Amino acid sequence: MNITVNGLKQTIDNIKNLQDLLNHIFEKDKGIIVELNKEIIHRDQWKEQPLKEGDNIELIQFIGGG
Amino acid sequence: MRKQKMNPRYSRQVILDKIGQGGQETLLKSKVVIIGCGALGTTVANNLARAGVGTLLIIDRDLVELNNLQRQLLFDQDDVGEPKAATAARKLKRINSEIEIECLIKDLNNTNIEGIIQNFHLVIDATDNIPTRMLVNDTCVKNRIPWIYGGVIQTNGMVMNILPGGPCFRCLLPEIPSAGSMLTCETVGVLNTIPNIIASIESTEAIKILLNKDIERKLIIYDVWEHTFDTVEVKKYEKCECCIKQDFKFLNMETDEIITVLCDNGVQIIPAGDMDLELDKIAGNLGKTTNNIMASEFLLKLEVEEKNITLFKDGRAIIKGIGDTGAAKSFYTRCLGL
Repeated sequence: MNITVNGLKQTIDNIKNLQDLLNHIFEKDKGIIVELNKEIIHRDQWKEQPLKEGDNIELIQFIGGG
Repeated sequence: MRKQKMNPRYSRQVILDKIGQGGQETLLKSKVVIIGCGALGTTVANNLARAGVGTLLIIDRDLVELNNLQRQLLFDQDDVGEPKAATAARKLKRINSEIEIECLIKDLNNTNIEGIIQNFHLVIDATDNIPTRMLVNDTCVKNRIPWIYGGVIQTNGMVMNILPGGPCFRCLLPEIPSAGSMLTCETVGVLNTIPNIIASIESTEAIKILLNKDIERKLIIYDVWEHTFDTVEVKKYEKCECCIKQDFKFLNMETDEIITVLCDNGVQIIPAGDMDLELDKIAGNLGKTTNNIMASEFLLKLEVEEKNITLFKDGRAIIKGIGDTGAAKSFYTRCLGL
């Protein structure tokens, strides 16, 4: 399956949902916001959010400094 | 019709069609709290004081450090060691003496936040941590006060208006990320131009909210280095613990005395409830044991046997020269005569 993550086209296999993808990319929680096809997906829904061919995902690091 | 006399101080924004005389009068009647007085807070306070927001309350618990001067616009070298909130208020009063500028040198926590912000029209986030933002979110959602989230790191920043009715901050970030998972300005730095921009966006949104204009509820994301600007739709989360279920857990949690070891091995002690210490009296008592003591309206500094303590009116203390929390607590108790 081909998807785009932060502007880079990627081919992924054996990844069913958004949570699988994030586990694949990050070793641990990085305090990120996930945007799928221009819509923010709430953290509680990552496990239930399936991925499909052509999805465009933006991983946004949450910003806490001031 | 009688034409009202225009205060020349605000003439350039009164002739701006988006503000006008009516808008200026509304700003002059508005009351805004700025939480945090660092890079974002100093710039927001500067903008809003000059724009004529009638009452500003600036809250910050820290003292000015040399590394702040790179980006915190209201401070200069002579201010190092002084409380940020009081220093900013003093400078702003020289910029605009026609508005009310108040300051609080205080650690904002769930025992004091509601009482402090309840009578304000708007809260501006200029803090540097997520737990305080969670507390601000709970308090503002519960009391139906709009607030503006702002954050900066490296060359990036974010802003979002959080208005009564939601979506709220926890629709975006439901829980505090695990310790060490977030980047901080201490660990990865911050370019001094990004807080100016993010604080200016926050200030603009503040003026729009105060004037009851059309307000976007999107998350704004900007990178000053790459020149990328994005806005992202944030939906109200139908199971949100805060704005849907009205469970204000950060506001309602039990609070004990908090003792933390700081980055420089200092120890911070925050008492369970606010105190109102008579610093002059404490300085008088401690003066019998050391000559190295200084008390001002806002704080007391004492050095004895290579240990030093900075004690604030609300009972909070920063103790240096002792790495151990138990010994620090014992020293604190002795200083206060408890």
